Amino acid sequence: MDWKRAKLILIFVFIALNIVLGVVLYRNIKGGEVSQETIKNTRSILEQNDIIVECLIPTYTGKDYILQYQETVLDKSKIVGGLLGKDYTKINDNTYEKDTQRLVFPSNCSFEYSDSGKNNKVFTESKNEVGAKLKELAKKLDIPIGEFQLDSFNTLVSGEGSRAVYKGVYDGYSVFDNYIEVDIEKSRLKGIKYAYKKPVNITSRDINVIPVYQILISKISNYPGIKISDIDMGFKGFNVDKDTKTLYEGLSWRIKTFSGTEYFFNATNGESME
Amino acid sequence: MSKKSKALEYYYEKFKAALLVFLIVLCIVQIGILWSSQSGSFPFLSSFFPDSKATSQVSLEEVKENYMLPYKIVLSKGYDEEHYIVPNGSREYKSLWDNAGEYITKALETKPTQTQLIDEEKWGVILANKSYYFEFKTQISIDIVKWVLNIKKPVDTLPGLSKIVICPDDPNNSYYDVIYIRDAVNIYTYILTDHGQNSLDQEVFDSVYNSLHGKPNFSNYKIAIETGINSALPKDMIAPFTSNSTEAYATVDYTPLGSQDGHTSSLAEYNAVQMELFGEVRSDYMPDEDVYGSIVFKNSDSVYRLYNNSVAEYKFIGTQISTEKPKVLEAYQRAVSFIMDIKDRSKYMGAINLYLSSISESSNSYTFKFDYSIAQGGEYGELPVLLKDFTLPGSDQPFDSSITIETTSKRVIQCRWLALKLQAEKSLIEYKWNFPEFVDKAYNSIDSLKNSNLPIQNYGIYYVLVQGSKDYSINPSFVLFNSEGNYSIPLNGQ
Repeated sequence: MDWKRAKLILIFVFIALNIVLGVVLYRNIKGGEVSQETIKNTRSILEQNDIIVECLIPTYTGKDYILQYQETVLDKSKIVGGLLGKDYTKINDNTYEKDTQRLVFPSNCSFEYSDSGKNNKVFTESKNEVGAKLKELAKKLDIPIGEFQLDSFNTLVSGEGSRAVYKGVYDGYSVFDNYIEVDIEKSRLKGIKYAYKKPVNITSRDINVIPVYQILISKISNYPGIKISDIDMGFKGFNVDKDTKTLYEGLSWRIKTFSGTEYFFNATNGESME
Repeated sequence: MSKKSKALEYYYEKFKAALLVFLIVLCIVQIGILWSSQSGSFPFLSSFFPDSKATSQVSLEEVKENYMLPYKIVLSKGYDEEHYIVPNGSREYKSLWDNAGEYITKALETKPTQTQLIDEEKWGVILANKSYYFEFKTQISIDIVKWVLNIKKPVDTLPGLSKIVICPDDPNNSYYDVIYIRDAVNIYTYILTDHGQNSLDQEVFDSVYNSLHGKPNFSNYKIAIETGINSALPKDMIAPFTSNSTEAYATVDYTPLGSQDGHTSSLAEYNAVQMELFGEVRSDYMPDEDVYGSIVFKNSDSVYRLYNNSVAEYKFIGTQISTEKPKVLEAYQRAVSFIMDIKDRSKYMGAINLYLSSISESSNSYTFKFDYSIAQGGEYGELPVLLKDFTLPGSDQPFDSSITIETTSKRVIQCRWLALKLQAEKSLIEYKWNFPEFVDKAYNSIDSLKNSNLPIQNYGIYYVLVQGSKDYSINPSFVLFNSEGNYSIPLNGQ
C-alpha cells in the first residue's frame, strides 16, 4: 500500500467531511433559515382559515434572550401631585381621588389614572402632538419617557377620542410589559395607564426561539376571521401570583390585529401568554 | 535524491500525519457537538460536553419497593426474651423485608382465618411472642401494597396495613406459618396451610441474629407489655426500658442550596441553584423571586420555589380539567414518579432514604407524606430526620414531613420537599441512653410537655432539624410524641 498517497486521500476526505460538518454546525447554531416557500405556505394555510396577514412574517429562529429588570418603585408623591394637584382625598394607601378624578396604584411600579368628568388637562388629538404633551407630563411625574416609543394610535372603541399606546424599548427590543396608555377625549386627558420596571441587562440563552410561522399555523388558526396588522418580538413575562415578582423575562412573539387585539406567545415554547 | 530533499520529504510526511490526526480529532469533536445538541448524549464524548443530558431512566416498576419500606423491623426471641430492632438499610433489613413480602403476598391471596377488633394488650403479647415484626409509619392502602408486592390474585378484605407480625412454623398452630396483619381497626390472622416457603424459618432467624449479634445499633430492647411500668404507653412500643443501650450515630452536616452569602438575584446564581435542584439549567423556566425572598422558577403552567428555609416547592398553576375522584394507586404512582425524578436529578438526595409516613384523601386529590432517613453507613443503619417549627410563607399548615406531595390520578398538584445537602460524617459517636431516664428528662425540662398531661404515643431517635438554626450540623435527639406534638432532648455523646 502506498501509505503516502493514502494519507493524502484521507486528508482530502477529512477536509471535505469537516467542511460538511462545519456547515451543519453553523446552521444549527444559527438556528436554520425559514424559507420563503414556508412563509408562502403559511399565508395560504391561514387564508384557508379566513385569516389575513397584511404584514411581513418574520423569519427569526435564532437564540432566545433574557431581560433582567431592576426592582422599581414609583415616587407616589410626584405622581399624585402631578396628576391630582393639591386637595385630593386619600382613600387608602393605593387609591387617591379628587372630584371626578381617580388615581390607583395596583403595584409599586404601575398606576392607573382616570377621569369620568371634565378636567382642565388640555391635551390634543393630533398624533404628532401627543408625544410632546406626554413628555411635558412625564417630566412632572418623573417618568423615563425616553425608554418608551409610540406603538399604536387608534380611535377608542366608543368612537369618541383616541388611545396612544407607548411600549418600552431596551437595546433595540420591545419591552411589552413597560407601557403607557393615554386616552384622550375631546382634546382632554381621560386616562393614563402606566407600568414600568427598569431593564438593566440582556443575556443570550442556550435555546432557539420557535419561528413565528409555526405559532401562526398552530395557534392563530384557532381565531378565524382576524386580520393581522403586525407581528413582532419583544420581552414579556407572566404573573404567577401576587407574591411573585418579575425580575427576568424571555422573548415572546406578539401578533397584532387591525382591531387592536394583541396575542402573545412565549417564543421558546409557543405557549399562549394571556 | 539529495539529503536535503529527503529531509524535506520526511518533514512533509510528518506534517501530513499531524494534519490527518488534527482533521480526525476535529471531525470527532464536531460530531460530538452535533450529537449532544440533537439527542442529548454522546457515549464517549459526554465528559467533554457538559450540555450532554445523560439522565438515567429508571422505571417506576424497578424502584417501587424502595418507597414502601417498613420503618421498623423487630426480631423477637419470645415473651420476656430478647427483642432487637434490625438497623434500617442494612443487608439483613433488606433480606428480611424481601422475604416477608412472600408471606404477606400469600396471606393477602387468602381469606383471613380470624378478624378481631384491635385489643392493644393482645397485640402487644403477639408482637412480643412472635419472631418477626414489621411496622410502617402509616397505614398503607391495600391497592398500593398489591402493586408493590405484585399480588396477582388478592382477596380484598382489608383496606390497608400498618403493622405485620410473621410467625413461621408456629408451634401453637400446627407448625403452619401464621401472619397477623393490623389496620386501623382490626387484627387479621392468616394461617397459611399450604405455604411452601422457608425464607423466614428458624434457620434464617438464627442466621440474621448471629450475623447482627454484638454489632453496634443492634441492642436488646424490651416491649412495653413486658414491663408494666407505665400503663399509658402503647403496649407494642419497643425501647430500652430496663437498661442502658449504647448506640453509635454520626453527626450530620448540612448546607443549603445556592449561595452561602445570601440571595443575589444574579443569573449565575439562579443557574447554580437550577443545577442543584434539577441537575441542569432548565431554559423552559424563567428565574425570579418573590416578596419573601424565595428563588422562583416559573413557566406558564408550573412554578418551582426555593424558600429561604431550604424547602423547595413545585406547584401546578395550569387549569385542572378533571374533577373525577382520584384513585389512590394512580395518585401514588404519580407521586413516586415525581419524587424519583427529583432524586434522580439532584445529587444532594443521594444518601437519603424515604419512608411513607402519611396518606390523606381530599375531595379530588391525595396527599402523601414521606420522611427522610439518613444512612449512617452499612450495619449502623439509618436515622430519620424530624422537622421542627418549619413554616412556609402564605401557608397556615406547618411543614412537618420532609416531602409532602399532593396528586390526582392525572398529575402532581403540589410537592414540597426539604432541599438540603445532608451528609453524615464518617466517624460515629457513641450514645448511652435508656427510655425512663430520657422521659424523665423531657418531662422535667419541657414545660409544655409537663403541662399537656397527655399520654405518650410514640418515641424515636431522630436528627431534629430546627428552622432557622445556623448550626449546620446535627446530632441525634430523643423525641417523644403525643397528640399535641413532639418534644426533643439531645442525646449525650460519649
